[in-house]
Amino acid sequence: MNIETIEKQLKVSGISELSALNARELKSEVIKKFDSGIVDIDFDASELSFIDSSGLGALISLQKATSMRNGLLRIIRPSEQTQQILELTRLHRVFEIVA
Amino acid sequence: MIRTSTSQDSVGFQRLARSWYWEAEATLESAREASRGIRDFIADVGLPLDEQTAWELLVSEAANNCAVHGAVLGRACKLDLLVTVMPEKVMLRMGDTGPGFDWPDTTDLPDETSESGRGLYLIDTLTDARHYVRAKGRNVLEVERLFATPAVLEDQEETLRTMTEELSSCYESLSSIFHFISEARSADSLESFASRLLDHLTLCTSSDFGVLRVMRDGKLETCALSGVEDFSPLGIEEESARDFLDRWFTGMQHGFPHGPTLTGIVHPFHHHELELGSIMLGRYDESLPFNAVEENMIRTFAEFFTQHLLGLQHEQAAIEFRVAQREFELAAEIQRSLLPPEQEPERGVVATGNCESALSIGGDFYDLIPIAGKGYFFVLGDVMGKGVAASMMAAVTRSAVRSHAEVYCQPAELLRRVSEQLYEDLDRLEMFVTLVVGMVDQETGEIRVANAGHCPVLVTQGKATILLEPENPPVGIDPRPHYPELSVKIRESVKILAFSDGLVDPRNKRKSFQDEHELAAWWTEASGNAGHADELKKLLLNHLENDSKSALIADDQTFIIITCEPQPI
Repeated sequence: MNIETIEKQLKVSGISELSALNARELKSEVIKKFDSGIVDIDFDASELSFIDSSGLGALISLQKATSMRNGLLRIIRPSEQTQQILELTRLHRVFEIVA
Repeated sequence: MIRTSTSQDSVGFQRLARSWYWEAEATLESAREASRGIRDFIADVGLPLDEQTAWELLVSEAANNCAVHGAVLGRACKLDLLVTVMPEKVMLRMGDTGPGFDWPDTTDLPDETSESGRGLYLIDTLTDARHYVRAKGRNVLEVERLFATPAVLEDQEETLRTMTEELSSCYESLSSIFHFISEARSADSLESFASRLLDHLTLCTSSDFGVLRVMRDGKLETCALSGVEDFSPLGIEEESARDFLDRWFTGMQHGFPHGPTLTGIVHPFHHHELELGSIMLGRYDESLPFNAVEENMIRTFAEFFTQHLLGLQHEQAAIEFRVAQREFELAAEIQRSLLPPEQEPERGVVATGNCESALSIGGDFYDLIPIAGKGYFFVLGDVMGKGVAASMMAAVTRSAVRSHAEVYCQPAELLRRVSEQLYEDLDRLEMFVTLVVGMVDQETGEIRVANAGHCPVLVTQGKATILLEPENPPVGIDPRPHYPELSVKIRESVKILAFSDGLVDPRNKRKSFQDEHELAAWWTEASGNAGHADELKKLLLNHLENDSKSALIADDQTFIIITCEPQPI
């Protein structure tokens, strides 16, 4: 998992699976670096091949953190499988998805 | 632990479907291992990416749920999965030992801001059928997902082969059942039938061994064995028979005497809530678990055996009923044979009687004994209760009375002796007998009666009837009773009626007398109209509608009629 700070934005990448096994870890790692200057989070989903309901819960948690600072959580280049699950759970209407 | 069964030939049977088995302690790590495992398995059998993704997510959601909520009081939850790929669908059976939960009627999506609550919705949405059984010690989730288009397992030829084999399996099960219907008729015992059926099932499913046990007095007892020596029931057999759920096992089983490793299934059979037994089949090669088609075959055979077992039980119950009925008939026959036959008058004393039991046997009895040169000694008794017990005590009382022939002419003394003789037995059995004994004695010109708690004896002379009432309790109440002797002089034509309380029982469905006074009034009038004992008997039976046997009487109906004319002393 890579977490990079670029100005007021956190860029999270390098995650191939987001499940109950690592959802808590993602949340705590991101929140640790979510200092006062950060507003938005870019979640790079290009390498994400599997996500389950716990993984979706972690993304919603991060999205709530950004919206409290009037920021955004963007999901970048999700795979077709990830896109299908977001649509199945209707969360594609909640996150900003960048193809 | 993971096992994959693929299509391959084996002795006498071909595996018909692809199956994948996995079991472990439920943790988030093992749950992920299971979801990856099923994805790889689905890919291996040639199903498309959509199916792989769907099953990976399905298993992840279900297994995570067990990992998070399954542990109870620090005891880990065990999880096992059996996935079977059929030509038109994939089926998953997931068992866990956690506390389980109530599957909701609807699984709507939660609020968009909710961080949880999407797991069941995903399982629901991604499957076409779901069945969740929550039970003590084991919960089972069965789901299936139909293919959007006919599955291409590897190629069309493979699909056709699998379908043909499945049809063959159904045909084999069906022909086996027909065969065993015929076997069942000729089997000389349940054990021999069970043994043949189990051998056949073991062969059909390519099992190395089979054990069929039936429940007797709450314990599993071996009924048939195939390919294995007898051993005590395993824990999983007892659990399965108790909770009516299948059990799968792999690896060593505590108590199993053969083979270091094995795989198998225990299938219980029952009728409604009644535990009947179980069938266990196994293989010594743990890499060959039973697939869904084989399991179906085991269930079919088990159901057939259940029906056979129930049939035998019903047959046994019917035999026992017929034996009891025959014994009852014999007892009734014996009781009838103890009643006195119609006899000649003795010194002008004519005696007759009748006894009808509410059941085929009962506690009423009577006896008429001619005493040469004197007249008749009579007895009428009523043992409390009805049925076999009462009839046995009636026979005992009759014998006791007959054992005191030397005092037939002294009814009170006879009654005292009989009462003392029977007291101990009656007291122990908590029973009693009302008993009236009497002597119509032409030698002394009197009627002498002693009455132990029985209905009064009606003595009619002319238009007057007197009631010889009991003054002491029934036999069996007092260990040292004293019975007064009631005596009536024979002055003119006498008609005597002794009867049991069945004649005045208001519960009778037939016409009877409301009470003793109504009967006494009727008797007085009848005695004026009829002179002979047989005529009076006919009148009384007509009044009691004795010919309408279909109408029930509430209690035994017994009476004695004695007539005599005064004779010179």
